[in-house]
Amino acid sequence: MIFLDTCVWMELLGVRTPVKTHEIKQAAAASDLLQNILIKKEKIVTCKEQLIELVSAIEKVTMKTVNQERKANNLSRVGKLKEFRKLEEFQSTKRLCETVIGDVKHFAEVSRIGEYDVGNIIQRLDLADINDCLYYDYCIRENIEFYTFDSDVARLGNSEKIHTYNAGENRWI
Amino acid sequence: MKEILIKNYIAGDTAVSYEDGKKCQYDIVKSVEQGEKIILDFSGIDYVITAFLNPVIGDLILEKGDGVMKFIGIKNANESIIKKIKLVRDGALVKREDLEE
Repeated sequence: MIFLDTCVWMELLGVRTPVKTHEIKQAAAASDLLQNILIKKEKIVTCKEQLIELVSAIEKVTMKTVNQERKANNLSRVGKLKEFRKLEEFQSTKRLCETVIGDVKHFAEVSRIGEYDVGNIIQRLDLADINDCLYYDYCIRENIEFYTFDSDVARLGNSEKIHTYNAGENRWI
Repeated sequence: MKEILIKNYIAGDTAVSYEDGKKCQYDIVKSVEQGEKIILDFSGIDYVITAFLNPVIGDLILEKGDGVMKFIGIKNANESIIKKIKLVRDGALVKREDLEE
């Protein structure tokens, strides 16, 4: 079984076309990975926590983009997500969220990652963010291969189940 | 007018590869530069993701400008594929530099 980190899903499904060399390499690495998984008919798993993380990330980032565009057009900017949701531009963000979540569910099975100890996660917050800790623990416990672009995940432990992308060698290690 | 069959660039019925999209875009650009109108034929394709469409549509617009879409037609694409083509064409995807900050 395979778990793709949120940054990998964003690369595959949610971001604009890559322009810089490192962006192109990352886009190719993510899509080659998914292509190989599909060819080998391996099972991809996700969880509700990850779907929520994706939606939150898209909302947050598109608000930033909309604010830049509104500034350029001499329109008032919004400071909070609460205000952003009232704008017409938010409908486009909502459509993007629907598409991305639909795609993730097309390729992956939504699993329950089980019970987790929040106290234990807080103790590791200086190493990686909450979601990384949740996904890491889940993958180690269930023997799932975890693919990520985020090197912070490797700080949680040196399991061979964790695969990070090495841009220099252009391969997953 | 030239028809480009997307299925020729991918293995199977799901288009996910950035590199495959790049190969397709290369052929589109060649035809556009010869002044031909292009029809992208999605017959036999059930599912696409934006990683594949980004080079096909996104890079094409970056290279040739928004006006290039007047020369591009879409054929045999299901509703989900059309929705994603529009997302890429309209720049509705997340801006990479905003994500990185």
